Amino acid sequence: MRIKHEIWAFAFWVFVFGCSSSGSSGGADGVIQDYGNNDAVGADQGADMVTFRGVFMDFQSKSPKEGVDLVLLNNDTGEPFDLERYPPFKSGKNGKVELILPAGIFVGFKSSGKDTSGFFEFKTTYLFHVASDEQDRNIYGVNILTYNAALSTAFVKLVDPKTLGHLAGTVYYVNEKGEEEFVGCLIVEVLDENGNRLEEEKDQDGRGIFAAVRYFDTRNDMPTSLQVSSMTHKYNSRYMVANLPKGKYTVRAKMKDDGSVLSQVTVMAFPDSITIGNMYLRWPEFPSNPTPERDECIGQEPQ
Amino acid sequence: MHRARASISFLTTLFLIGSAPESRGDEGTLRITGYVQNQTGIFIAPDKTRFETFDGYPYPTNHGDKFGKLSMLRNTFLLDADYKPFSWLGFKAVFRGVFGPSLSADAEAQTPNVPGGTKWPQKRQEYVAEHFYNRAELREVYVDLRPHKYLFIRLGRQLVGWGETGQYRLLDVINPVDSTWHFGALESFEDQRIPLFMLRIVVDVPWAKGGLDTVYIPMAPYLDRSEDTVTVPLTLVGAWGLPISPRQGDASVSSSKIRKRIFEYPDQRLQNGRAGVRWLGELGPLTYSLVYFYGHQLSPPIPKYYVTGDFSGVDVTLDFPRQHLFGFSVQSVLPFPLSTMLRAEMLFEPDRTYPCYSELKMPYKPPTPEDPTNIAKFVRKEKFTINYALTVQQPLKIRPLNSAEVFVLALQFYHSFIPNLKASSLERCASAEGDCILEIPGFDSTLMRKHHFRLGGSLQTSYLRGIITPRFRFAWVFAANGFMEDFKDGGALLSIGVDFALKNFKVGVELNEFLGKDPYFGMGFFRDRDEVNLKLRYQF
Repeated sequence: MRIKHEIWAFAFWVFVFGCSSSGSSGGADGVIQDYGNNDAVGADQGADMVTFRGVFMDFQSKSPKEGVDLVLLNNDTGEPFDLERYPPFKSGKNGKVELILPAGIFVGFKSSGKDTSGFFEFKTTYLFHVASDEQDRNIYGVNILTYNAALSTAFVKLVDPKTLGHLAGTVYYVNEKGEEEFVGCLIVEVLDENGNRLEEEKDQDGRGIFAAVRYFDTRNDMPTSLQVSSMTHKYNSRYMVANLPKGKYTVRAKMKDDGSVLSQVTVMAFPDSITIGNMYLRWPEFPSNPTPERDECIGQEPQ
Repeated sequence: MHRARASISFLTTLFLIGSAPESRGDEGTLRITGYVQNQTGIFIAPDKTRFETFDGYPYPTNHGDKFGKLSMLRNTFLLDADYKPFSWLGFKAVFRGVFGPSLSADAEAQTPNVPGGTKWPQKRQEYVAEHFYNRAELREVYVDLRPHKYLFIRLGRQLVGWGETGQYRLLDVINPVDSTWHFGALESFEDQRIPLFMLRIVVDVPWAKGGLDTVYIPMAPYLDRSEDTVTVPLTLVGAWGLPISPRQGDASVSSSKIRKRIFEYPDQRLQNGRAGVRWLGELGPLTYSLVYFYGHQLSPPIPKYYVTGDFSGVDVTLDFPRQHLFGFSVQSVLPFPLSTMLRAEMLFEPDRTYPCYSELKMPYKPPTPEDPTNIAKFVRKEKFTINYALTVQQPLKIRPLNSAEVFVLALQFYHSFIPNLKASSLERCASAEGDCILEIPGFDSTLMRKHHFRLGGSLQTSYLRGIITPRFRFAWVFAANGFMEDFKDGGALLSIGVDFALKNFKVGVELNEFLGKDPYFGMGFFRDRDEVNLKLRYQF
């Protein structure tokens, strides 16, 4: 009888701890998502702290996902950012992520694993250059289905997933109203840490096996061969760079016409994973969307 | 004597409900009948195809642009031959040839090998015309045997109708349907059913006032084409098919993303055989039937695999899962009001397979260095489903309108019910919450709800001894939220027409109107298909 009582008591506390993820002092489940006070993990009494608010989202469907494993990263090294203070955690309800972070820094996120439904499994995805004081930031993860599909349509060969990784992103023009538009007639090039431009290497079938830059097919939002799409389009300005060894890279978006560099982002590639590196051309620096008014820059309209 | 009377009564009942093996032609004579027919329709709906731009992409928000275009132009030649050399032996063959031009409205057809969307309209139109508008086929060919007065055997390509609920089908589970040339409810089921090769054995059991009707479809090679063993998917045609899908989730599989549709039709092998049994009997004033059938889910095809490779777009394979069906019907003619016919039909589907919200897929075969093909498996769910329909048919005398003939009023109520459905919404489906099953695969707008109600009816009379036959038909599909909630958001089919018959000639003209607020739900899928239809037939 007594044993039974103790089991119930134990079960009760397991339940209580299991449910009250917010405000607990770290651990694996749903931890760092709602720090309502500075006593919470992440609070640093000696520095100015800010609350970061974001939403974990599936990169393709743009729908928030709950329960996905997240790790806060050092923006410069790609290593975990103070594991003791910021242990791995899971995205909360509706993908909610809230952290108390030091002000004025940039961080990165690593996401992986399944969401709570079990239907959506995420390939290890890295996202960098996230300002610690952002309030409405989307933290994208790439669904393993999207990842598999993208690699099969991009006319690249997965030479060695254990050592090579991939980059992907979108070049956006952010207009006066703050709306994001795609930008056409851009080409993307990738440079290594020493500033050397990387050239694609192909196998005997023409599949990219190293530094393969690909653009997306406007009709189905999937990366495709360079024969089908050799630049970005106004209906889709996503890119991917497949098969890169671990390291730091700079991705540049250039106008196809004159080769002028409009934007660039520095990101890290990690083996068997994908790193997201979006680029933003913002108003008023760019008074209008720089897409030239030519049919080839528009792309084929999805039908 | 009593047994003989019971047997006659039973056979009469079979004949009355139109599902019995009929005994045609006089002994020793060959009887040939047939007709030639032209059917021409013109679309009259003013709807226009419209788009919205989202994330830089234009997505359809309506479908249309068919005003003044041909809705159909179908010429039919049908020959029906009966030969009964002996009282115990009979033969029958029905030949049907149809021919017609390709229609511009078929530019929207989502054909198997043309990438989705509206590009290459001519290829789509040609595919539809070749596969569905121009065909010559020996539809029915069978031999009838009656070795004993209580035993009847029919072997060959044939039609078997165990249900009497028209468009809702319910117990009409055996033959698939081809309604590619016109809206199904506006055509006769005899014409739309696809005959299958089968063995049918009917045994009268007079002492039990009933009979056992068994059907076996061997699905043996060469007897039927695989694609003819299931209902023709309505995505394959444009004029009377489904429109291209609207904006759905970014990761959904909308028609514009599909490069190929690969239908895995049931193989022609004995393991795929289908079989069923029906007991049809009388109980006092009631005629009743009990039905069991094991076959394939004839419609819709269920998405199975999502395949990408080093090509642009995705390939989708679809199949037709196995299914058990149970059901019963009860029918009676009430003495009051005079000649009121009541019929109830109920079908239980213990393992009906539903397609899911198209974003829900599971990895199946990832790409490898050797093989770039990536395969994911679409999520599908089996759900116990209950369907029933109640029909009442009432002859009416309305003297001010017609003093010589009666009006026949028929009303039908249909209800489909999924008891263990966990209702969801598109927002929740993005997180796979609830049962995100769909009514129509590929259209995330048709999220299935627990209850599904429809109401249909017709009113018909005739003048001058059948020379003029006016009729009115309607169907009401209730809104997504149930029986009365959001009633005005439901959809309707209204049809008014008149037939003129003079000797061997028959002329029919019909105005068909489709109403539906949501262009991607229920009757709204056909809201741009309002038409005027003219039918000319010479019978011989």
